[in-house]
Amino acid sequence: MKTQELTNIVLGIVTEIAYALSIILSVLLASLILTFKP
Amino acid sequence: MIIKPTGTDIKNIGYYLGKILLGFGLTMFIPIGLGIVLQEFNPVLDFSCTIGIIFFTGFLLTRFCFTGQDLNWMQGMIVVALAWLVAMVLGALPLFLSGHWKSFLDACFESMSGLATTGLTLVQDLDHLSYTHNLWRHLIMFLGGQGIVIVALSFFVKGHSGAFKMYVGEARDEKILPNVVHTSRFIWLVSIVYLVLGTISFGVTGIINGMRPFNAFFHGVCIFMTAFDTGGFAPQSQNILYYHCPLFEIIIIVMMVLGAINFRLHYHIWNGNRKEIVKNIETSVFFFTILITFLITALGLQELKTYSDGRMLFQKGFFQLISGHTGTGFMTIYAPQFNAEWSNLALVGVIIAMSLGGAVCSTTGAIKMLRIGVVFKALKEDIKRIILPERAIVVQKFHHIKEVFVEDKTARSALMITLMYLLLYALGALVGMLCGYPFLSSLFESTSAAANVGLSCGITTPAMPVVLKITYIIQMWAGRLEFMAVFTLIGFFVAVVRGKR
Repeated sequence: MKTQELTNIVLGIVTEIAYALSIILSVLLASLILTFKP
Repeated sequence: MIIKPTGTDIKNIGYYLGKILLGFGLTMFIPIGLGIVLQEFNPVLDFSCTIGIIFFTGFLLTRFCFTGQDLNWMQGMIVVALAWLVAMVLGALPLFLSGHWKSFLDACFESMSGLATTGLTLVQDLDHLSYTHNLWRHLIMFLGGQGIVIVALSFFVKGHSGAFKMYVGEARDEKILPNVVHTSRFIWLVSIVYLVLGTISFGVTGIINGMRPFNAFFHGVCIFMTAFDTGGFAPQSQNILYYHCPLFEIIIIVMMVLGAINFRLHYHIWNGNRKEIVKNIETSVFFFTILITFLITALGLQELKTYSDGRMLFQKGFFQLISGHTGTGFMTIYAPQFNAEWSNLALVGVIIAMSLGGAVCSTTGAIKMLRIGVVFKALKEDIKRIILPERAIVVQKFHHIKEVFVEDKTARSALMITLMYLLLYALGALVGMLCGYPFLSSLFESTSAAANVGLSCGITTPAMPVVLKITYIIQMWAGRLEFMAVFTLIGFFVAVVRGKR
């Protein structure tokens, strides 16, 4: 496997995990806002 | 006029069914290997008997049904529909022989739930089930998520058009590479890469949390297989609640989201087209529907003050929601808590999420994001046509790997499948109500079965009525195959009985 292909796969995996984490962070933020008590 | 199927039709179906059975039988060597290593000889015997039956049937079918002809569309669809039923029965055999299922029907329910990546379970005393049988429960989920036909295509079927017909019959209408066998192998590549990453993550987290290394990695591989393939079985009866570990839950959420992504999208992202994850209609709709359904669920949970702080709302409310939306079915609460502690609005939020599902050509069930996006775009186009002057040219397009115009036939197909799913959810709810369960609980459990999710509000137990078990098996089967293969099989039986030569 060429270095370029391997790099693309690794960056692809990072991109997909970042997408999943962005969902988690958005919902976590929404949870905190919804339960915020001043 | 309905034409009666010929002997060649039946022989061709039998031949390919035999090939799929042989591929399915080979996978049983994995639990056998584990059983031998762990010296669990009774379970090894259960699997050895089953393999004998599978190989005998498979060899008979491939030996006596060979025609040398390629599959046509009807035959391909029937092979797929039958393969799933036969795999359910044969996959249930070693489970039933373990004595942990009350009846053979319960074992068949478990087997179909595994293959269809649903996750509803009827096992008794799961915590004392052998490692060998427990691995099989999770392995059939992994195989079902990949697709039983994909397994056979990867090893046994050469790349010709018949293979594509079976591939489509298994609700994977998107070809990633020009050759369908290469497509199957790419699906395996993605799954194996994430299998390694996921198992290491879960295993290390388990060890840090005090599990013995063997158990940590055994649980790791089992949880990965059912998280990525959006299944929902877990090695312990308490499901994910057993681990009491927020980090474990975060990793599971990541794996569930990755499993809900289209394999075609994986291919483009892994080949350097990383911006696609932002532009693609499926990932955008998925993000949006998660936020909307979470908002509904969270407002429902706030009604009864079930989880008063943000962390608990996220850890309990969001986990069940994303588990439902991705079609996984992992739970960090006990099933009766849905009815006892969650408000009706919160349950409705989860039901909507379950009914939507993940991406097409992924391991999830239900209506799926591409269809939701297409229906929404078509609706927008129709509204524009009414509002704008008659002479205005109205076109809608969406981005799915490339720019695609919303055509009538695309919208019709999306709407048809959506309607079929809604009818399937309603049918199961009706049977549940006829069995005496309340409306919302019946709808919840029915949607969970038909959308191949696996969340349960307590209806699915070994004591539930037989008619409901059979209904859920049919729902899981039809929901996983997205109807066409099932309708073709029904049509085939009608043609056998009423057809004319």
